[in-house]
Amino acid sequence: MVLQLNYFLLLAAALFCIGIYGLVTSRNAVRVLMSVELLLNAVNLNFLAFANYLDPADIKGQVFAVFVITVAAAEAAVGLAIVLAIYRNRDTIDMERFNLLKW
Amino acid sequence: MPQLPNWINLVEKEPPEDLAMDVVSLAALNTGTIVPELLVIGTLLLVLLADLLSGRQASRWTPYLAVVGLIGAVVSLGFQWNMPVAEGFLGSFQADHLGILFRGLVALAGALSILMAIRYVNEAGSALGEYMTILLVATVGGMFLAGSDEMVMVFVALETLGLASYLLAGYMKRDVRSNEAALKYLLIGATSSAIFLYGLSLLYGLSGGETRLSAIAQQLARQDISQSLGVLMALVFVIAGIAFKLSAVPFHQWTPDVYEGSPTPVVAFLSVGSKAAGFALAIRLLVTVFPGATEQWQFVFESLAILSMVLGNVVALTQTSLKRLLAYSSIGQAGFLMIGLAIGTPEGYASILFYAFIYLFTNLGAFACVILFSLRAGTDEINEYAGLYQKDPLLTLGLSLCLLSLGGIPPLSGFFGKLYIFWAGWQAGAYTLVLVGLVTSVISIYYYIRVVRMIVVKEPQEMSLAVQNYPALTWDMAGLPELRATLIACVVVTAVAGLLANPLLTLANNAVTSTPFLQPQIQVAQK
Amino acid sequence: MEQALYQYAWLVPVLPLLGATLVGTGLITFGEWTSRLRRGNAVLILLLMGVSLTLSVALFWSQVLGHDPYTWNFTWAVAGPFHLEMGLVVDRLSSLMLVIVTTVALLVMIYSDGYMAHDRGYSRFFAYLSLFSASMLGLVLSPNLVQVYVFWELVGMCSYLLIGFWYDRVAAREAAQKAFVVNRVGDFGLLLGILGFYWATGQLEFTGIADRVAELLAAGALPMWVATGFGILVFLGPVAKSAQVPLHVWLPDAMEGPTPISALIHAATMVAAGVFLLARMMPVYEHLPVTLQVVAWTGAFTAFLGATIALTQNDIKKGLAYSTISQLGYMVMAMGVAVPAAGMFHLMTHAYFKAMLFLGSGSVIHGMEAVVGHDPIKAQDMRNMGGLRKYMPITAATFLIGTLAICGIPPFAGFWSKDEILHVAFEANWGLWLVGWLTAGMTAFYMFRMYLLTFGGEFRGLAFGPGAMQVEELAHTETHGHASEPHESPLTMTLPLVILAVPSVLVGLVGLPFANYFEHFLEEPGSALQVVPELAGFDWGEFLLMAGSSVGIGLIGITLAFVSYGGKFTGVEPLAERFPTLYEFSLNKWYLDELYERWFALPLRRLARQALETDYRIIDGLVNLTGLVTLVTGEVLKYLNNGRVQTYALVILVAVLGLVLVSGLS
Repeated sequence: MVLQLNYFLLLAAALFCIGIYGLVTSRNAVRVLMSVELLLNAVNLNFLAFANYLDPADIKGQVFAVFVITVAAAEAAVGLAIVLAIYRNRDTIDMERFNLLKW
Repeated sequence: MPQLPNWINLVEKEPPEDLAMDVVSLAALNTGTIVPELLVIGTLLLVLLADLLSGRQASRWTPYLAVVGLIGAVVSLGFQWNMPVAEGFLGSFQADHLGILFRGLVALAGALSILMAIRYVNEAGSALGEYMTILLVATVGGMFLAGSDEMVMVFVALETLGLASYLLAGYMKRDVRSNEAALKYLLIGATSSAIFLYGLSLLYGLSGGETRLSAIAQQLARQDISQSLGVLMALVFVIAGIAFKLSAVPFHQWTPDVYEGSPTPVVAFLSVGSKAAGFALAIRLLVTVFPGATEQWQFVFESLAILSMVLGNVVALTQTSLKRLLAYSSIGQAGFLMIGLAIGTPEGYASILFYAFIYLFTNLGAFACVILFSLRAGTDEINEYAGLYQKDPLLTLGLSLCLLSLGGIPPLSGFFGKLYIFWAGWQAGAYTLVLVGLVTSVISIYYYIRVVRMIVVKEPQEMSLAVQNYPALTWDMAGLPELRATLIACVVVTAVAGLLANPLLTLANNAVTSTPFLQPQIQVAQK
Repeated sequence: MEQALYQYAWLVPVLPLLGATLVGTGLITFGEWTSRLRRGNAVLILLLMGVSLTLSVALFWSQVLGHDPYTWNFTWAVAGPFHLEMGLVVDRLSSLMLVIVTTVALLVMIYSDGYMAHDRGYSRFFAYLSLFSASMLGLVLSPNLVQVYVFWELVGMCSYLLIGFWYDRVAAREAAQKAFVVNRVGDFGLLLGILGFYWATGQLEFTGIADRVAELLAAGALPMWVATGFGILVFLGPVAKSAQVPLHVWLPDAMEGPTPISALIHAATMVAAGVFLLARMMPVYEHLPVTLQVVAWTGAFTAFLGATIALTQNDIKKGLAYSTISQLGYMVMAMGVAVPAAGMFHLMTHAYFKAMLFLGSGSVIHGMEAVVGHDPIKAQDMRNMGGLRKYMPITAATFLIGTLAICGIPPFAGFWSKDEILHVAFEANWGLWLVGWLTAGMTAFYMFRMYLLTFGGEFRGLAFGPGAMQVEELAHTETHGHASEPHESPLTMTLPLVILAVPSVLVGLVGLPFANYFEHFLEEPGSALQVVPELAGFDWGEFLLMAGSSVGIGLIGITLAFVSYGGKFTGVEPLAERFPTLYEFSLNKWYLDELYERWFALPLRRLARQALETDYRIIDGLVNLTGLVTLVTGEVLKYLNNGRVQTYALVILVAVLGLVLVSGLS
């Protein structure tokens, strides 16, 4: 069986959708952050697949993926810091409770 | 040869032009193009170092250092303006005139927000040094975003701006509202940038492995797939990421919450600097990458503009907090700006620049007033402003002028901004957009005037509690003179920029006509 | 040298603006400190005004010597084919106005130092005065209609600010509001007229419009009635600003402002702006005879109405205000018969003598306040005055000069200018002349009534004042004078009076009917002034007949005034006894305020209330409820922002999907 590019892209799309699902439904703030990581990983998969199939010489997609991973790490750090601050103040990380600001 | 899906019909790529390109010298990178950004980076390192070495002592002078650095960046941008248009980093960074003006706007917004923040941050008991460092990082991100011409660079710049903004939004870390604002901003920001990134990855694949924007466009054109579903998906995904930055409806919902919860100087920066960078990115990305789908993206922005103008201005009517009102107003204002984007004519882009310049000073002036009032009276509620004119004439005058200018009352500068945008829209035949803009700006006048009336018209006995207990006007606390200077500067520009409209507009027009990547659009417009 | 002079002409309006900005900024930012400077501010503003005056005189003189008109334009805004220019034009008309405005403004400022000496708002007052002068000078220099409109609004704004200067007085606030509302009507007309002319001709410059209108009318491309309509719309601006019937009602109320303001803005300069605009528009109006007819009759009727009301006023400032309305009517009438030179001539003489009269009345009020206390109703009522000649000799002498001037007694300034107007009116239409002639008689009567009540006889104090006849008029005010006799005003107040007396006597001599330097100056631009007195060809008989008849009716008026008020004033109006109906009619200002109240204000208010009630009754379904619908929409839409970040994310995703679908399908 030949691994087609489509398979990778479908996997990435599925991963992206799973990430979205997690993002929208999770009640735990940390789980929401993890879902965001899933979104970014889906994108990474896209980049790697494209780099492998279409751009094997320059592999710019792989380089891009490295950048995305770096930024994702920074994002996770900032996100966890914010979640920590919010936990200190409110003793909860339940997404349902974070609606002081509305309307 | 790996098997390719049938929707990618790759045309044979041209061989690499020159192998010597692989080994590049520093001179070939053309580092000169990012001198302004380097200045800001140097400044932020100095501020960080000074803060580390001498702690809070340093916060007496570091704000000035930061502002001098940013002003230096603006000055060096001025020098760059006069130099021939250059590509930096093998085309990843464009120092064209459009970019230069937007970078200048971002840097100015950063400088003014630092001056406004000194008293506010001190009062909250937070560290000023870190605040400035993060704000400078955000500024650098915005400036890079306004000039970057390559997907990796766009993404990194976008995230630099974004991550710094999330931190700033949560800077009052003991305040639950600030926490919540930061969390919301982060989650929505991360989601949008993931969608944006997904769009970029599609573009990378569709173009057969290109990351430079112009190269992508060439590839798309060569394969003749500019109208295919893949490209349209990529287009919409990319627009979603940009629209988040512009807070265009329906990607706006974070805006009021974040504006309400975040520290006010940060909001001031977000409402102006971040938005200016967003517009720069929008113009560059859409015009460069999607010339084949111009109709589609203009249609999308037309819908976004109408939705933003209507929803932003209508919901602003019902707000009770001035910060939240300004949030919805900024959504509406972004809608007006998007008219310039949706019509896609040179005049449209020039009027975006002009309006953004005026909006910078007017909005920052309004936020400076909000900061001043919350420092003195401790609240942002509109009702608490009642009768303020009897206690604080400067604040009354400043806030009234800025709000009236936002509402577009002549002869204040906001009127001229709107005038040029609407005129450009009318010329381009976008009658619906202009009519919606006119109607909604009439609506907007209503809620701006409501605030002004609250301040000015009330009888002495109707004065609010906050105003009754208003402290005596003193300006000798650290940071207040800077706040006052910023306020006066913004108000003066707001009042007179309309009268100097012509040189400013000429500048904007020159920037548009001399920017290389806009040339095809200009030629289309000339026909 | 001369060219350099013209290159600095822009300084004339900019210098007062600078003064106003400096003092204004100071007041806003360092309020306490700046207002403590008092005289410092005044001196700064006076100095800048003095420089403006010098420049204006130099420009005027250069125009007299025959320098070409100077125009300087810069592009203010370009939007494609639409081209908006701003700039300044120094020609004979504008240089003349510059001199009038700057001299009167400077003298009024000097006067204000004395008049406002004890006022808390001293510095603020000077800032406003300076701002007003700057706007007025800008208006005078405007080369096109848009700039005129901008400055028109600015002088209007200054006027409201200054009428409401004592904003803690209810009457002052209401007067400011009234002035605002009434002027809005006129300004709206003016704006429509400007837009109309722009639409028809594509021009904004005065001569440009005139040429195009002439062409279009000749070619039949523009119907006459449309052009006439535009002309009348533009005329609505002067109707409001120059207090012509039916929009004159704001001017008497505007007397609630400080007296120097009444002199500068509401007598000498701003109210004359309307006449000035008519003079500027004259090249256009020349092609529109019907419009000119309307202008002329409006002016004549206003002159008549103002004079009849002035006959019975007891408040010295109100009396002068109606006199101003009447005199403005003369000027507008002169414009209406298309002889702008005559109108401008009267504008100039009137500016000087009416400013002097107002400043004199201010001096009287200042003196009266020492006796009756700081109550405008009592201090301005002529029934409380009398015999002031003894206590205030300088004021009395200058007031008499002003009175003689306005009555048209030769050789005072007013005689020449009024006679000129009557003369040209007679040539155009004897009906106009008749109205003007009758008005001249009434003018003489009411001015001498004013003079005699104020300065003649014995000092009365509160014997016959308000409340003496009807106690309830003043039930709540108490008297607290601190002197038994009025006193002469300080030098800073009397000096401007004396200085203004000079032009009030002499300035008419530049426009002798047989050696009319003035008319020549205005009507033949660009040539040096060489008037050979045309004594030979001058029709002395006609002149003597015209002048004799108007002096005659003036003398009759004066005699009647002496008969009625020369003796001891008993508190009973002779007129009221003989013609009670007419007296009431005049005293109540033709019941116009009541009429407006009943015909416009009340129905509008009722309509508003009914609209409000309908609002409540039938909330949905009515078109004029859009506002409410908008609010409700906003109220509903805002709940979409439910504060849950995950909903926001979902909205974004749905929007992305929707956009993909829509743009994919389209």
